[in-house]
Amino acid sequence: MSFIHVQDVSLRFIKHLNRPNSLKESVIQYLLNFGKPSYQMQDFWVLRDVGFELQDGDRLGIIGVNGAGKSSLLKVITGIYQPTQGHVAVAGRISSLIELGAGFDPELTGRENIYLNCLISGFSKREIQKKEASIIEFSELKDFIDSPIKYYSSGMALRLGFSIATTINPEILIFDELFAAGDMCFVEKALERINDMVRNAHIFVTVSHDNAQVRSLCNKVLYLKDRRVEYFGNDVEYGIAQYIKDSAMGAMS
Amino acid sequence: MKKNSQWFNDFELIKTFVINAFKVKYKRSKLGMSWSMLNPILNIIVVSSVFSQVMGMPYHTFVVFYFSGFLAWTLFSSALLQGANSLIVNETLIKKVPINLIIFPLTFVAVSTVEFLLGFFVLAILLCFLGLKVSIAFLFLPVSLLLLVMFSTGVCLLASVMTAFFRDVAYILTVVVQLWFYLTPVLYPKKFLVAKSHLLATLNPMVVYIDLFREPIVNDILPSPKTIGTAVVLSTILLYFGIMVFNKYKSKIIFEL
Repeated sequence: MSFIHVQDVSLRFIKHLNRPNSLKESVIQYLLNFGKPSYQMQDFWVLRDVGFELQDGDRLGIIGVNGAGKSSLLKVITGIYQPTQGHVAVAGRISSLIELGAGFDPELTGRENIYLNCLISGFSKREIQKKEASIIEFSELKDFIDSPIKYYSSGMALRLGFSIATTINPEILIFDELFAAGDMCFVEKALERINDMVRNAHIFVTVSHDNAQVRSLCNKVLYLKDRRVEYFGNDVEYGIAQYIKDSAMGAMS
Repeated sequence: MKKNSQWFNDFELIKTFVINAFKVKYKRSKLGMSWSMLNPILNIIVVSSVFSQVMGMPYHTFVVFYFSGFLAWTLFSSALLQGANSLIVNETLIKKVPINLIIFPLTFVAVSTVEFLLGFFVLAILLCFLGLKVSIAFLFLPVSLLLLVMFSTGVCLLASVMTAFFRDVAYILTVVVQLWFYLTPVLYPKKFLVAKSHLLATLNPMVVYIDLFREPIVNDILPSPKTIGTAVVLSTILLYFGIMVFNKYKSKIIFEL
């Protein structure tokens, strides 16, 4: 059984104004100001009191304007950011397609990168060995798999990243936007695979600006407005309608 | 159970990072991996030919003498300098995937340790022809290495955290390490430093670690109980302190990158 519990999560970034980011400067400024810290720090809340719970079978679409905190929320769920306040509890293996090929080392070959990437995602050597062949096959890289990634075209690197991320069967699948590179044929293949994964994952979370996609993939929606949860629930249509209404209001004023 | 497999996975990841580091480092060179053994050999040959003259020691004596301190110093300094930058150079990865941050500095300590081992065995074999006597005291060297690695890990963890918050720590460190090298009896015997400044000789922890290697290799004896005791205490404290500081700041590091 998998679940995601997000409880009153707030996330704060600290924006440093004229902050010395060298030790030399901070010592000098410290001395000049007689021991008072000279720079200002501005709190910058990215998320405020965000809470929701997901269980097996939930397909969540997170919507909201740019800067509403959608991507940060995904990063809190995956554990990249620790929340400043509140708790996140996650049960189940997460696969996050936040950025494809984030862990690629350009000097290493495709095959070596498959190992590295899967290890980073928490898979054991034996599991990777089992998946290797199917990852390579799906990526259509053939002989190129043994040359360094820096010689790949962006499409090739993307295909490899996608194959790695999707060959595994995660219990929790997390997506940030969808991808637009790769040749048309691959996109079709990719879409098919995404649909498969979404069907098989216990929990699916996505951030999307494409309302039609949210309608077709999700059974729950979370509308983030100004860092807070404006709507969370089963009524996908209602959430999207709110979002559209607010956007129209914003456009008018 | 879950905790265990997490540790195991992190260990696998460090292993892979280390192997990749070696693969990438010598990738385009004809001699490949053997550079990590050739480098210390060439260094020792060159430095010894100059400094055996300066120190007025016979070449074959000086080579063994220098070898005993050089590798230990190199392990420490390269772990420190590279480890300091480890979080910054992996910024993109840290921001995109959830990963245990301590892996990055530890990888650099591990790389330095592997280079030490490669260099040690090759040099030890070569130096046997120049009068290096392998004695029973050599059996103590694994303990010396362990203590040195613990110490280096602690210092490296502290440096990596500081560099994440203040970028110029890395630049300051390169200068500090250079100065530190000359204040450490690597090129010259410890008694020179003690004679010049007793205080410096007592305050510089690396004096102790060089002794841990030099006594068994050069003098065929175990380091004194005082040296061993100091090293055990120092290594334990620094390792503990390094891990503590790292854990305290690790969740803040990502916001500083």
